[in-house]
Amino acid sequence: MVFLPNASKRTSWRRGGTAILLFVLLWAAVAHSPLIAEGSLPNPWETVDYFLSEFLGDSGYWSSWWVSFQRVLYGFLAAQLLGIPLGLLLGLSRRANAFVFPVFELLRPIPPLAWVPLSILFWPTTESSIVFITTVGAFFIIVMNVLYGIHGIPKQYLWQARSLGARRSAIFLRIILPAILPSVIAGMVLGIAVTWNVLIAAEMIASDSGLGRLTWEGYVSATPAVVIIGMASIGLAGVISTALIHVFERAALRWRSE
Amino acid sequence: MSVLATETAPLLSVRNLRWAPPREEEAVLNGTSLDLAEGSLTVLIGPSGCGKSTLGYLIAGYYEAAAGEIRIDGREVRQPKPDRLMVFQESALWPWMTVLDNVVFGPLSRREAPRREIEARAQALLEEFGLAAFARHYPHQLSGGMKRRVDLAQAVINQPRLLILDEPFRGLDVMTRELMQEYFLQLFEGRGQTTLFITSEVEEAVFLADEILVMDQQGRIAQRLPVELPRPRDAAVTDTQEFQKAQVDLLAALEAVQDETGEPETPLEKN
Repeated sequence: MVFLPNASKRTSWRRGGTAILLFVLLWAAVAHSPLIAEGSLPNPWETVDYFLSEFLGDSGYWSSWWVSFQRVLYGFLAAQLLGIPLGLLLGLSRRANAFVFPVFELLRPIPPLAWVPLSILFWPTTESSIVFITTVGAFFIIVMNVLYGIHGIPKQYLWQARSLGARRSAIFLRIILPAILPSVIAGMVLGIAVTWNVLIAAEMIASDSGLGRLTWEGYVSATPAVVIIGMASIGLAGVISTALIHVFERAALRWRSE
Repeated sequence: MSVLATETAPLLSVRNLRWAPPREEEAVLNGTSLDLAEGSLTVLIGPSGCGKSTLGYLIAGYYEAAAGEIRIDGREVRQPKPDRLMVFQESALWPWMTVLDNVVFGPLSRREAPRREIEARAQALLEEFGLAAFARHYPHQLSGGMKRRVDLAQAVINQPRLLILDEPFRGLDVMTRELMQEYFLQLFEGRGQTTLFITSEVEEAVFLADEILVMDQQGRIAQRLPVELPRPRDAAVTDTQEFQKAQVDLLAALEAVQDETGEPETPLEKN
């Protein structure tokens, strides 16, 4: 968004609407093309029809939303609650950095899904292991963002505070924390996307509920419309979560120029 | 030639200061000595990269010298303190604080007085600086010149013994720059604020200074040039013959320190 020239609000709505319309037409064209096996991809209106008749009034569908959102929320919050303090510790204490960072760097390249078997063995319930895996997904990102945020603080910000006689606690609370806030929020935007990625895969592998499971069941039961509805729901869920973070961003970073 | 004033005890005294940078891009100080008298406006000028900012950081207490000493009112400088404040090349206002919060930060951090009292002082100062209407604005909402005035207010409210200004008007457009110079002169002349003003502009140096210190490539004070122009000064002074002569003298001094540096450059050795 930031990198594009400004278009008026109405223009961008019109362009967005046109793009979605074109996408739906393309989808319909693909669904009816001879290259696709008959019946493997429902066209848009069939899908909408299926959604209205089978899903809209179905409490099971909506509880899939609820379950997945809850898991994302818990995983995401746990990642922030653990990751922000660890990032601060690694960024501000040389000793902690020397001790912890090597281990951190060893674990960081392991993809979150590689944690699935261990976490199923380790955690008592499926629910806790799924939340754990989503936490892992966002955790490393937020730690790295806090670290980058700390390294990016202009030294003059800290010098000036020291010269003016601020105590260490005041420098931490009033200078360092607000200075890294933009990086923390950037980490949240990245983190929420990863959280959804990881969650959906984990639900397909290890869970009997949630939007990931719903999509997988569409495949197992050979009902392509369910697969499409599941995918669209996941996409929408991602959009909603990102929008919520942007609302938070706008409230927290009022002091920043556009 | 001695570069040290000896008549009265100086507010700031720097003796044989040595400093080598941990990173190559910073300048070396190789035995810097200077004195600043109370109430004087001293301009420090020299070729770029000679260590002017570094000297400022050392006096402020941000860097630790390898050898030599710095004293303010006779006490040795060991760490940053509010008795000497620096205004940096790039505005260091905290962007998440309003103008008012930036200005009251120092006195409030030191619990000098109740918040209300400090805010009243800050308001009065902002008024004096023509910023009364902007107390609740964030720094990004201000122009470059306004930001520089907030930087000054943020330092001046603490009544520092010494103010160090590191090329504060660099990057401003010519009009704003001239306005800011006159503005700063009023502030200085009104308060007698002892100031070390770092610049690389000859005209700015002569216009502001009681005395100009010319630094060589080793970070040593190669020349002291007193500027005998009357105070209070305004832009009219720049048209006088005395001003022109002081400029010519300063240019000659600067050329001398440029010439005497290092071995002669040959094109082959340049890389």
